[in-house]
Amino acid sequence: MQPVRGGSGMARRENWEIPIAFACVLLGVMMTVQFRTQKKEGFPLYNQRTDLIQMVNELERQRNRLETDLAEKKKKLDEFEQAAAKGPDVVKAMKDQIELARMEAGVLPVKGPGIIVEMSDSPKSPSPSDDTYYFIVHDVDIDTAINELWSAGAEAISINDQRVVTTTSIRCVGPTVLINGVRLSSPYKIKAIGPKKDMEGGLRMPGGFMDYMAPAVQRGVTVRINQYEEIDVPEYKGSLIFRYAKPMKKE
Amino acid sequence: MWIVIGLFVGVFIGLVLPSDLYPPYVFSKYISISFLAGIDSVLGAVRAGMEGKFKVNIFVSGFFSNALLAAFLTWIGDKLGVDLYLAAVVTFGVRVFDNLAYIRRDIMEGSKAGQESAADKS
Repeated sequence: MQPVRGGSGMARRENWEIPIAFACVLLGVMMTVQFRTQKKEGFPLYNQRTDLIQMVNELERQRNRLETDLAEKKKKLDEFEQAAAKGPDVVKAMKDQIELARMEAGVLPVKGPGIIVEMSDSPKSPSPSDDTYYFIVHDVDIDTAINELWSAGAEAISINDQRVVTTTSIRCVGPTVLINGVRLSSPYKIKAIGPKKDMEGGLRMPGGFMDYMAPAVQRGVTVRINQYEEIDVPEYKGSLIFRYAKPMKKE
Repeated sequence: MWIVIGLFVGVFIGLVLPSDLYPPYVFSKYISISFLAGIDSVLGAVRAGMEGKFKVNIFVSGFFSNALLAAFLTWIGDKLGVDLYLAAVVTFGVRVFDNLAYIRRDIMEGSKAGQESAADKS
């Protein structure tokens, strides 16, 4: 009896181990494939996103460092010019011209009478049937306001301390607006130096900016316009280097 | 013994498989869940085998139906926006530990019984 029982035990053992072994082959393949796909692609959304965020942060830090560097250099250049201005009249005239050109280019902080337009996202949260578009301030809203201000005679404009210069771009990136490559978020404060009345009138013109913003204002976006006797508009902190464009020589 | 060999063979196949034969990344979640279901089935089968209750058809059907159901639950959960795969994770996770505990007990008691029977034999 005893050996027979052992024999059947052995047979049963083989009987149950082989199918499980086959299943294990399958499991092994699955496991390895999983491991390797995870390693190869990671979590594409999450890993890559954190990488990108890190990259952006690093680059922004770098940019800020360069910006302070540039500010120092500009100050030094200014000192040289001051020193030069004490020399002959020609140099002084040239310096005045340079100063004017700088002001036109927007690399000098300026002050004067003007208006401040403040825009902020709606504090309300949209219900499912609402169009979320109208609950936040967009790049086009800022763009439209600025266009209107220029056409009304504005001489210097900044948005949240980002001076608007010839190469300024304004565009939405996610929930923020990128201006001069700097991420800005609501509230947006547009400062414009120029004829106060004309500028405010331009914005409030029927069919103009305020009418255009009306659907958003209805949904809680705020747009405030105030006139001031004197406002400061900061200088453009980046550099205006022309790598491709060259002045045409007049014959 | 065969089980360990099978596992190694599987790992080996997985390693030599060219990576462009891999299922696309979107299936990754389903494969993970199926894998868990598979582990549960295998451990259950090992336990059944040790207790002498193993039946091939039950094992094979259970192995595939569990894996498929788990993947299906995950898929439905994705579509519905509910993390239904957690149901599979919890169920199979609990069962994996349960089975492991039984297997351990079987091994301990089995080895003791084996020793006793060996002692009897001698």
